[in-house]
Amino acid sequence: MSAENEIIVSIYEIQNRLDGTGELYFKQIFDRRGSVEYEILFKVYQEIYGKSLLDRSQGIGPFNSNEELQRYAFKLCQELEFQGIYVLPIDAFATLLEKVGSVDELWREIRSSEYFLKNPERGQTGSGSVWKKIFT
Amino acid sequence: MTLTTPVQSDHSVVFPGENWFFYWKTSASLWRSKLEEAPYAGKIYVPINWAFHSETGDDYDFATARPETALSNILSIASALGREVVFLLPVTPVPYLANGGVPHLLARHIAYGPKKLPYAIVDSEDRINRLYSFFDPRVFQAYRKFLRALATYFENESINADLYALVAGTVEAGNFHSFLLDESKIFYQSLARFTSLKEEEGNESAAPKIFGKERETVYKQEFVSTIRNLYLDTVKEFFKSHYEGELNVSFLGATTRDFFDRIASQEKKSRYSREILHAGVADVVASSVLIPSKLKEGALLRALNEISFTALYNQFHTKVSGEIRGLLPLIFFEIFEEARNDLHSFKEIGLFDYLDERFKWNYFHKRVFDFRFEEHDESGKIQIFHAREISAKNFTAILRSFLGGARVILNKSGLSSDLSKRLELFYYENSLKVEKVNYLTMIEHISLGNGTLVVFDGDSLATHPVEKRADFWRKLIDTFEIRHVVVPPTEGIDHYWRYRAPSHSELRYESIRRLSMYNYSSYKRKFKIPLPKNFLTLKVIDAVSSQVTTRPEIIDVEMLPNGSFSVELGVYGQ
Repeated sequence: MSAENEIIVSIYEIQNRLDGTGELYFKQIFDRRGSVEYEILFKVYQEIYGKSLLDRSQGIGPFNSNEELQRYAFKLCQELEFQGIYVLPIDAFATLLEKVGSVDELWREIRSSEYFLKNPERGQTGSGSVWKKIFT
Repeated sequence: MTLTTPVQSDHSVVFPGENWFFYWKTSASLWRSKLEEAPYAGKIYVPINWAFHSETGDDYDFATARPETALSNILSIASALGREVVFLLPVTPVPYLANGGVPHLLARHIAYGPKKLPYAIVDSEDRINRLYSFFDPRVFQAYRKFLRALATYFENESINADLYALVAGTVEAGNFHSFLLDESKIFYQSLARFTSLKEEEGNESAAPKIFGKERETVYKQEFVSTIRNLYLDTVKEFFKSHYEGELNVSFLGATTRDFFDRIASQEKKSRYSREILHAGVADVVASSVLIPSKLKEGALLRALNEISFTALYNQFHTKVSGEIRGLLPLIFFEIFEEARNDLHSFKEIGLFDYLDERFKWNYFHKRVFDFRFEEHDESGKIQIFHAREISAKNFTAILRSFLGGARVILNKSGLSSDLSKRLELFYYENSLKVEKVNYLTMIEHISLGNGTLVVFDGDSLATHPVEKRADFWRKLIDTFEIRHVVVPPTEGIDHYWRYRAPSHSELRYESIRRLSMYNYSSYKRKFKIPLPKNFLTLKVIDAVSSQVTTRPEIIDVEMLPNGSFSVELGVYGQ
């Protein structure tokens, strides 16, 4: 697979709880081959949390913080051995969609967005990388 | 090898599927030649493109500036060619137009689908069409004005053609989801206003009050239904003499999953085939206008012609003749369930594994909201409910439905204590004899006339291993004595069942069933279909790249890639 194709894109939603706090769910995770299979997504969740998803209809989650969300994203990236992952909030994805008219334009917009997290196992990592912050 | 994206032929752009004519895609001077070459005989379906006639939502062009907006000319050309035109007027966003068909200046609030992701669709030319919310009050106001202008144009031009309200959507997980359904902020803002009005009304009314999640669900459904009817009633109001009814259309390639596959250039024929079958089972017309023409060949094209086009034909044929339609989907089960992915769902307690093994494409998954009480249910379908999702009103309707002859299976897990008492009282008041059997869980079986009611507790079932659960369902469903041919699963092969009434020469049979099979794999497939007693092969129809040999108790099949065939079976009585 070419490096151009070695990326995953994830879209997440923040849901408000009754107590005013929020929880995060991945609503969609896909790459240049289409949607990532649910079995892989469930397996990664199980590996991190040691339990199955309780309610799959909400998406992958819940995650209690951005750090937890990113930890999952990194783990998935590692599992699939991809270069990196775009982690987009739903509203940002909607904004990207509103700018584009074709499939090629959508991929260009995603690639130029600011939501990219690089898989450090596929390149150099700086000392202040998000990866390190999460796993150290 | 081509280095550029293949360009679709001009003709398939104008006629992208099932005789739909996209008049805005070509010059009016070419309409005659295009219509002369309409791909199918019969009616020509002309979807009206609101944004094409009104860029701003305030001014309208019906042959005043551009000849391509002269709808009356389509009609006269078609008429001269001996073709009938049916206009389709969308009452929801549509996936084949930019902005879902909403004029550019009104496209402010992107609509969000059931998965709470923005609605976006890839069309047959790799363009991305976003859908915009029909819950935006400005959209409705402009829509109403447009319809008034369109109706005036119809009147001035003496346009005399049938018009259907087009409800666009997809069939996902067995349910038809209209693109009207929306989870956007504008939807929730409008819902909040509706809810507060209802609260005010409720405070003044003596009707029983509902609370919590049920209240939220009831108001949401009522609100969606109100807005849906608002659009529909507007069409009826302005097109009294043309209006023929609603047409639900499931667009292949338009689900959320399709979007993410299609932006990755993953066009899967087998997936579209499944969508055709899902639409067929739901008795909804499927449209292939979003699918690139290069994919519409072989088995997929035949499935489209045999299933989708038949469904479209049936819709109009019923209207015209008012008689029993030709081939209808063969459905034995209707499963009513909202929450489908938790540990107590029918999926988790093994129902679908069992049905997929023996009754694949013979069941229809519905929302509880779609349940309609029928005084005398003669369909013979088995209706399966999950009690935790049933409102008190629906619970009463289900019990009445059983009294009227319906066959009902009720998973009583989550049944409230009130409804539980009501069930006991129902047994008592109607002097019903309740047979109880303990097999993995307590099963109550009640018969009355043609009606059957089976009540069990799914929670107890969930604790048993998979094989035991399958056994439970097999034993339970066997009690209904459904006569059916089980098609053994074969990788890459899809099948679909329909039935029809016997003709005069077939009166010895109770009914005639048609099994259609399609090979989407790249391999030759050989398999056998055992025929139980009471079934007799009548004829093999339209066998393409398939060899079908019939014997009294078995059908031997050999299918090449892209092969397909149908076989008709006569079903004897007891």
